Amino acid sequence: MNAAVAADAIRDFQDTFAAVRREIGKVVVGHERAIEIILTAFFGGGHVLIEGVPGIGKTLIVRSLAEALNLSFSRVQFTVDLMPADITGTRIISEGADGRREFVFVPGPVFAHILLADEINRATPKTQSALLEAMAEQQVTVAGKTYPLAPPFFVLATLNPIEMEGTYQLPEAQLDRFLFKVLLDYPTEPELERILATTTGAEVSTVTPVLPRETAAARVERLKQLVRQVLVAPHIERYVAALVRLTATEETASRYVTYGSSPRGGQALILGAKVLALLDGRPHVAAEDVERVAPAALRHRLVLSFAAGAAGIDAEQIVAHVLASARRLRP
Amino acid sequence: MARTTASGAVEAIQRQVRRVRRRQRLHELQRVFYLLSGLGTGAAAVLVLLALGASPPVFARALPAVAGVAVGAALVVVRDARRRWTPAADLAHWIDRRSGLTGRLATLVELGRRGDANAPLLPLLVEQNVTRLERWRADRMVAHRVPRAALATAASGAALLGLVVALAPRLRPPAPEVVVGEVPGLPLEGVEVTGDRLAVAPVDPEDDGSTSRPAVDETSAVAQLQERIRRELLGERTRAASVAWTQARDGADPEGGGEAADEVGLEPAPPPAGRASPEDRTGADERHVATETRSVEDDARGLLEQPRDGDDESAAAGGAAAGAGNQPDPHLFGPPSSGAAGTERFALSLAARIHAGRGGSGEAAAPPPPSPAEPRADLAPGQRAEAAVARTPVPLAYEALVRRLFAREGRE
Repeated sequence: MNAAVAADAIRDFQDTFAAVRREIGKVVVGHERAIEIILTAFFGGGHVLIEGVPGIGKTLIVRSLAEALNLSFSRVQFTVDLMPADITGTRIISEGADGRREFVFVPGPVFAHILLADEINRATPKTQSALLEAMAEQQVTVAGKTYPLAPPFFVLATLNPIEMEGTYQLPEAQLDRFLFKVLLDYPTEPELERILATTTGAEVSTVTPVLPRETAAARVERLKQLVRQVLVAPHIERYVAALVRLTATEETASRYVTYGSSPRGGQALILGAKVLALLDGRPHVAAEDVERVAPAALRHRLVLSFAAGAAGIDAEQIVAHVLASARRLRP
Repeated sequence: MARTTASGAVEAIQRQVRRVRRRQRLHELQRVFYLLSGLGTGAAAVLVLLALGASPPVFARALPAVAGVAVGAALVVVRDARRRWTPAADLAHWIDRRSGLTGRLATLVELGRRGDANAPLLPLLVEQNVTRLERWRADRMVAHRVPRAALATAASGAALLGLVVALAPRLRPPAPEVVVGEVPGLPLEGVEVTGDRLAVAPVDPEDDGSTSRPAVDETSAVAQLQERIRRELLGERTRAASVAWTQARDGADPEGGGEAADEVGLEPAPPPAGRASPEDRTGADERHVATETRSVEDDARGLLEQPRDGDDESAAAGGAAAGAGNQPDPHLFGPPSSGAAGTERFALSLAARIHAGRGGSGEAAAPPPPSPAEPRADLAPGQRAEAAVARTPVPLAYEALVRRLFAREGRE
């Protein structure tokens, strides 16, 4: 790839990203930063966990994303009685044209490009774990048979921070598989006014697909491949490694964090930074890109101690301390 | 072809990095050199000023302070230089930060070092760096060949030192003012203001003499340094004074000596009527130096043991007694000293008593017991009890003046 081709590819990426964001912005008022992080995770090849109170547009964001990209979308409302087969699919006995009966696999909602796992913490750990294989390896195994998921595969799970009664905290292994965790705040007053104006009128805004349905998946895969090609210098790799280590060894972190980030945290930092580098028109990652994605990439990977809860320290504050310490290590 | 072009571009980038490195290091080295030079010359100027104008105790205290400040500032300069010194491996990052390349140059340099020449996006990175070459040219990264502020510091220090050296003769300490006479109601004492100044100041009624004044070891390195600075900068006049005193004392060339003395604003002492031999003088000098350390009681005892009129060596040899006739005894205050002016001191071995509240160079001096041979009537109102004046070390340059003053006192 020569310089001109690379520049064109980066420009195409920027245009696609901007168009999708613009389309989502038509129906989702506010949450610009959250939308950027979600799109970053999408093009980085990861999954996103969204935490926010009900009614602030979590589902709308995901559905709009699927519509803008013209990709298949399915939604699973997680409840306590949801079974793994309800997600992955199951084998049923089906009678063929010749009268023979055989087991036929009926794909579950996981077989979509974009899966919304709504209120994922209401399902049992067993059901939650049914997503593990799909998220990590983009395949599901049912009755000993493995079924690949069509790329791109993107899981967007939501968590409701209130009504914790009857919920099951996500296991650390599953949390670690989300590239980013996004916190959705209440809309501001002007945003709320705009929400009311756009959702209660006669005309409801709709999302126009950015990509044609036939080539959407392939196009998205090409863009994801471009993200992987972004250059990362050794000093950035050292910086990310130091940042990940500091989540356990930094002074504040060592006091309030039982377990720091896993290596997946470093991968999330690099992948997210690569997307941000492309958005900035650069073929390489800068330390600033890493720092921009650090809160979203690290906040859900820290296992806080009891002392942190007692002291009112949350993961956001720990990450801020870690970033402040890591900045001194920047070359 | 594209590969060749890319490698050529990388070569050009690396050449420019080397140019920036050379210029930046030269700049930093110059900066350190100029700052240290300015610091050194500035400190030297302050030291010279202190050596010329301050008393030895003040100079002795100020020297370590000035040296400490100078060394501290030098350490700060060196530490700052170490902090600013950019290792070759970090130079690309330094350029990146300074010219807002957002890591483009550092990434290219590091990937080139690692050998990632086949990365798909590398040509674009090279091209982006090439288009930004102008932004970090060596003369832009290090704008001035010479660090102007540091150079100004060095020039200021040198100018200050030059000014001090040039004005040094005018900064010569003034001749000592010796107050002779009585201040009504106030007893007087001899006070050694500095190592080479003698003043007579009123006695502090609160001062019972128990507190000792700071003394300076004249053989110490600090005193020698101050003396040397003075000799170097005031050398001509000091030598002239020395010649004047020597000639005036010896009476070899009264006219020439008078000229030299006039030059330094002093008058030669009258030639002694009888002079001891050089051997005797040497012995007397040694004796005087040794007696400087004695207490006041020793001084008083020494006074009693001084030769009286008519029983000196010349009388024993059959000649006329020194001081015979209507002239005062030339040995009344001991034989004159010998030695180079400005480097030695002399002490009067007083054979007379004058009225003084307390004598000596600031040391406690208890009044000697009244002599039974000289019973005194009650003192008149305002009249002070007599007391011996202890010996005061005085620079040799002032010997004639002091002798003349004391001789006049004796005549009165």
